[in-house]
Amino acid sequence: MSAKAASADARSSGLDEAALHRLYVDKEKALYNVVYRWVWNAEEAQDVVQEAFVKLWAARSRIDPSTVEPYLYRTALNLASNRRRRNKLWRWLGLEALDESPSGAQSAEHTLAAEQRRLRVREAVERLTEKQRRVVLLAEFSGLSYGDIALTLGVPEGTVASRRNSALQKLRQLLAGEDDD
Amino acid sequence: MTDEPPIFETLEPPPGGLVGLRQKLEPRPRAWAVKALPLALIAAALVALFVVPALTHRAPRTLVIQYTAAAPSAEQSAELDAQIALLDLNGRTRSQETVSVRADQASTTQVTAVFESSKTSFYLVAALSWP
Repeated sequence: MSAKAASADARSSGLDEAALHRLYVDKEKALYNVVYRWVWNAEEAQDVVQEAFVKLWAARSRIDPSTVEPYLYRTALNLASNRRRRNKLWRWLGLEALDESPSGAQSAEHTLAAEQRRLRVREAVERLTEKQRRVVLLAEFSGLSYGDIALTLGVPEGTVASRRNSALQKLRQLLAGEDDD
Repeated sequence: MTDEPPIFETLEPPPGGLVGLRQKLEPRPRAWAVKALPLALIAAALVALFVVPALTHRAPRTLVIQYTAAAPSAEQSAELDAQIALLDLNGRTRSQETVSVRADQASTTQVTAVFESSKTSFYLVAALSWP
């Protein structure tokens, strides 16, 4: 089933369990990539994505079908943000953050370079404000329009654009500065 | 759009995500039981402390015992203190009252005593004795 069909399922009159599963298959990767940049841990990120779907399932009767996707992203971001604040994730972030290493087919040199690049990106992302991070990650991975991102975050559409631009500019500056070292 | 390289690489989520979601959507009675256990214990303690005593408490009842017995022949005209007791099924005295009795010429006299008791069901036998 295509992404549009899965989303259309969710937006239809009712969200049954089969539709929820299809929506999960369709949206898991995008949500995971957004949430991962929040918690920097693969299992934690997957758990947050699943929890967001559990909450969607529990609240399905109260949710406007047209806002399922913004609801999912908003819930996932809030869950990730809460976890990050609440638990002691910071203590075991270091090596855990590298657990999405590429396959062993790649050379050690390539792997090391890729991991160093990931670490630099992570450090740069961590230096964004929370508002900038939410916008830039949603814009990067969710496939939502600026309008839907604005709906997700509860901010005007123009704010989404300006925050995304400032976040990308800051990221590029940070990464360029480190690449120069 | 610019030709700048992407900042983020797209990561693959760990396998088994949908299976994990299905498990989370299943009812989890154990988790509910664990969550409910402390509440159940607290509720049971409250019931034991307050509800049970409130339900089982009985206000003392007035128990009027009338007992007819032969008056002691030697003191038929005397005013006597008679003792009337309530006995339980094992014959133990559970309550006792001293009653002033005026024994007349009749061969029997009637003694009335009033007891306050909240456990009247235990007292099935009344006995009168002269001191």
